[in-house]
Amino acid sequence: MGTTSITITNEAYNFLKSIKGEKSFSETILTLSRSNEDIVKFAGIFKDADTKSIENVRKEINKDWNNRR
Amino acid sequence: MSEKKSTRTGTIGADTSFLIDFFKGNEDAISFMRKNAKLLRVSELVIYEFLCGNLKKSEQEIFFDAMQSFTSVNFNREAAVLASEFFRNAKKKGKTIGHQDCMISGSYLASGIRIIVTKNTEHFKHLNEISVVSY
Repeated sequence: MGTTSITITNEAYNFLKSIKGEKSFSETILTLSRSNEDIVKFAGIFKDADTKSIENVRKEINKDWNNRR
Repeated sequence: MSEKKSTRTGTIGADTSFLIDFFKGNEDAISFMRKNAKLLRVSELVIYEFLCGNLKKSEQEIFFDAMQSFTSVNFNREAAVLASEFFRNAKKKGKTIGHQDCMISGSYLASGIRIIVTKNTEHFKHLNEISVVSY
């Protein structure tokens, strides 16, 4: 994958740095470039998946922590 | 109490229950997502919960693809300090907050996020530092 150098203001740099977390600057910019509709296309995509098992994870983790001595 | 970062105006931390409802096709969750997707952040602890469920490999790949839309939030030292404070302060008052709820809240607050969107508002009701919104 090719790269290109750009110059941005300190304000823009500090903003990107503050939100990037573990992502690279390139990944952060690509995340920002996604529109709301890019995520909305995933709506309902797990309607037949076993989401109940995910719902139960929180209870299991909390219970497990409480049972530790 | 540890020093807190300034609040990032408007950013919202997603709880697992909200993302589950969105992926299941809950209309209210979809509507919230449509309006607020740019403001949402996702804790790696929420990612962990998803991956502990019984998603098929292909579903996990879809999930990872969807998560590319969000900036992730880590559970770092500051989050650990805040989460432990939530737990101990609640315990002193005779209240119970689940460890995982404390850790997720701590991860968001350490990143300057003071709002969490969840279906389970009861889980976070004893956390004065966090505002909870439903959909």
